[in-house]
Amino acid sequence: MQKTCLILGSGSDIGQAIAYAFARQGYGLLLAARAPDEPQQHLAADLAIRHGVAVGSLAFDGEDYAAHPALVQGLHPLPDVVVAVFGYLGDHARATADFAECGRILAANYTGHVSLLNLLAARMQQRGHGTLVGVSSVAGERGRQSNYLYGSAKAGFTAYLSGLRNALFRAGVHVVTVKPGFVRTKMTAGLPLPGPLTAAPDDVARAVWRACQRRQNVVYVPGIWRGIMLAIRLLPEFVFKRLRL
Amino acid sequence: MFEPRLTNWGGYPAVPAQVLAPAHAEALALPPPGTPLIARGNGRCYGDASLQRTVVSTLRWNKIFYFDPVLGRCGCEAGVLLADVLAVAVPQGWFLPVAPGTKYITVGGAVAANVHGKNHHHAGAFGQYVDGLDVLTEDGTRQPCSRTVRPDLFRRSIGGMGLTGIIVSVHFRLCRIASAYLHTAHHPAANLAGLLAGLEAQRPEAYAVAWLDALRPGRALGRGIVHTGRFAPVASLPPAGQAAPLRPHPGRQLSLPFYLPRLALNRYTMGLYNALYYRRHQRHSGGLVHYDDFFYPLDKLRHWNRIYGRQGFVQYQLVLPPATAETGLAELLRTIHLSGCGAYLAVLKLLGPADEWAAPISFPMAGVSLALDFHATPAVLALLDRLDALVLRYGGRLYLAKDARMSADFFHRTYPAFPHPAAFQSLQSQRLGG
Ligand SMILES: Cc1cc2nc3c(=O)[nH]c(=O)nc-3n(C[C@H](O)[C@H](O)[C@H](O)COP(=O)(O)OP(=O)(O)OC[C@H]3O[C@@H](n4cnc5c(N)ncnc54)[C@H](O)[C@@H]3O)c2cc1C
Ligand SMILES: NC(=O)c1ccc[n+]([C@@H]2O[C@H](COP(=O)([O-])OP(=O)(O)OC[C@H]3O[C@@H](n4cnc5c(N)ncnc54)[C@H](OP(=O)(O)O)[C@@H]3O)[C@@H](O)[C@H]2O)c1
Repeated sequence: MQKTCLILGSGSDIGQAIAYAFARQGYGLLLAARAPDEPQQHLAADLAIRHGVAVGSLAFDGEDYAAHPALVQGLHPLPDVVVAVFGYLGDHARATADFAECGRILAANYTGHVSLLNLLAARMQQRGHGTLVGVSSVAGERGRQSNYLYGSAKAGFTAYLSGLRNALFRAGVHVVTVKPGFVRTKMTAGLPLPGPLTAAPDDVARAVWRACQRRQNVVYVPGIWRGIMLAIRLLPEFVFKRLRL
Repeated sequence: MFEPRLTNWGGYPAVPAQVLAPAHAEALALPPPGTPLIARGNGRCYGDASLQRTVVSTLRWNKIFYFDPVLGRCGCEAGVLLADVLAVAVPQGWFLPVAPGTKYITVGGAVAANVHGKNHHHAGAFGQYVDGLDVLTEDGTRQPCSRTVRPDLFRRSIGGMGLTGIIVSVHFRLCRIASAYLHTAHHPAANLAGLLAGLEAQRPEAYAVAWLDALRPGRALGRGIVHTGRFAPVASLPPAGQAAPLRPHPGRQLSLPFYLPRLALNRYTMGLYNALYYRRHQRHSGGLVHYDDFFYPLDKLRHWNRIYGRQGFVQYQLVLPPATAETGLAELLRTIHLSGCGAYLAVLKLLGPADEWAAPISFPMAGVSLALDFHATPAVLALLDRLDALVLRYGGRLYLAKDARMSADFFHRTYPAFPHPAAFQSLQSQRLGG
């Protein structure tokens, strides 16, 4: 039977690249986005036409926790791979003053994922196999003054994924944590990106596919970020707090 | 802010430009009124037809959203490349009804330039296979159009060079093939008269094109090879081909990673190349070839335009009506020869009557088309002005998709007026007077 991959956040540029990476390998796809608008319909059709795989679509909102149980129970069959890739950078300055914006950042990067993955993990554990991929960020490794709301949500997500991996290991369910550095997408459009440290969505997609194949636990994209973040984590706090990052 | 310079296939001109690349048409933030815009596909036109201070790139509009393998119908966003259509269509027994000399152009660019292939004399140009378009017009709305709905917008957008608006999506028809291979033949001719007669004799073939050696003077003026082809039935393929008759083109390309110095390509190296090419095809009489080799030999080398060096090159493509073709082409070739400017890669094609569904500035009209490449030097630009005078005298015209330098006056003497909304203007349309 054709294996399937659920993309939570198929409107994301990285999510789309991941969808193509799995379609190229013959996976059927289930695309979940906030709005099943024309771009989503075209994406679904294009995946099916180019790669001859089955593609389904559904609507979800990471913040609509009440709707999550029905959504996850409605998945038949349960996908082999789930990629949780939705996210929201938000307006940090605004979010420090306006908790509505802050709440959107926390939900899109942390609590929304927790709500959905709790339910998906339970079903996968029962089934006894599967892979859960969470797209977190290097921003979660250390809080910085310019984006610590987003960063702390990602930190929470990273810690959650680590615990989940531990919890599901014996059940045969694998959990991958993806930590992109900078990626050229609509989230970063207009921001100055450091060329050599910046990945394309396809690079992230290749890394995700490889991580699923090889059952890798934590992947940085581009890989150089593993070293950079190690150095940043090692900076003593009395130095770090003085930096303008 | 740093503005990178933008340039099309010829590398000339190169202009500072802001590129808007929205994820989809609805996400396009239109600049303030009075800022002229032009759509840009894959930048495979040679000159300034898709250049402007602000351009809208369609390359992210790359989804095929409809494909009917029974009827051979396709619906796609305008930035889908012909190469991508082929990758889907060929394995299911369908091919492009019109195939220009590269598969790396967008479907939107194929419509906007109403591109022609080696079969225009039988099949017409790309626009004839288009059933419907969505065009983003000057008021920012998306207008569906077809032969029955807003037929005027539809007609004017085919071959309209982006001046009616931004084509967002295209519905078009494909043609049936039994295999991805063609039976081909080469017919050498010792001079221009022989070459034109050869092309004429091969008119019944599905595809015909002639290569000519534009560097030969005197009696051998216009000597060349007529290439013909037609898709092969499966039964005529060797066993290996019969096992997989509908193999699409390979995904990989070699790349020319840097610009060659101008010295690498000059009339002497090119003369030598031409002589070898002529002799090779004089001896071999053709055979079974894959469509990728027959239609897209230049696509093998990505960035092949870099062999012309950093200064860039211009292509000059003209059509002359049947009555004046032979005299006119001979005089053009003699004039080029006397100028001492080397013309590389000269190609002749037969064109059928002007397409019924096309803008008045669409290029094809009944006759013979000649395309020539030159280095973009002052001497060449002066020569091309002289060639313009000949094209005018012999009742011909030039292809806008290849042009980077014709004058407004010459344009208006060879094409009817084409009033269009001020919101959409390319550097070319501004140069040619609106
Ligand atoms: C090697 C080579 C061989 C070629 N051979 C042929 C040939 O055999 N026959 C032939 O006819 N042409 C040929 N061409 C020319 C080429 O097919 C055309 O210039 C084509 O229009 C390029 O398409 P593009 O997507 O690159 O668009 P661009 O070059 O970016 O734009 C070309 C024109 O189309 C308009 N345009 C593009 N997209 C849209 C859109 N979505 N909506 C509205 N307007 C749009 C632009 O404004 C511009 O006027 C060749 C070019 C090359 C480089
Ligand atoms: N780009 C980078 O440099 C970078 C770096 C590190 C990590 N990441 C992470 O990578 C992931 C993908 O990012 P991207 O760059 O591809 O960004 P993107 O293109 O902006 O995609 C983000 C997607 O998340 C969706 N989304 C936001 N909030 C949601 C919610 N509450 N419920 C459901 N969907 C929601 C958005 O949906 P709508 O389309 O409906 O708005 C959008 O499609 C994110 O988690 C991001 O944090 C990105």
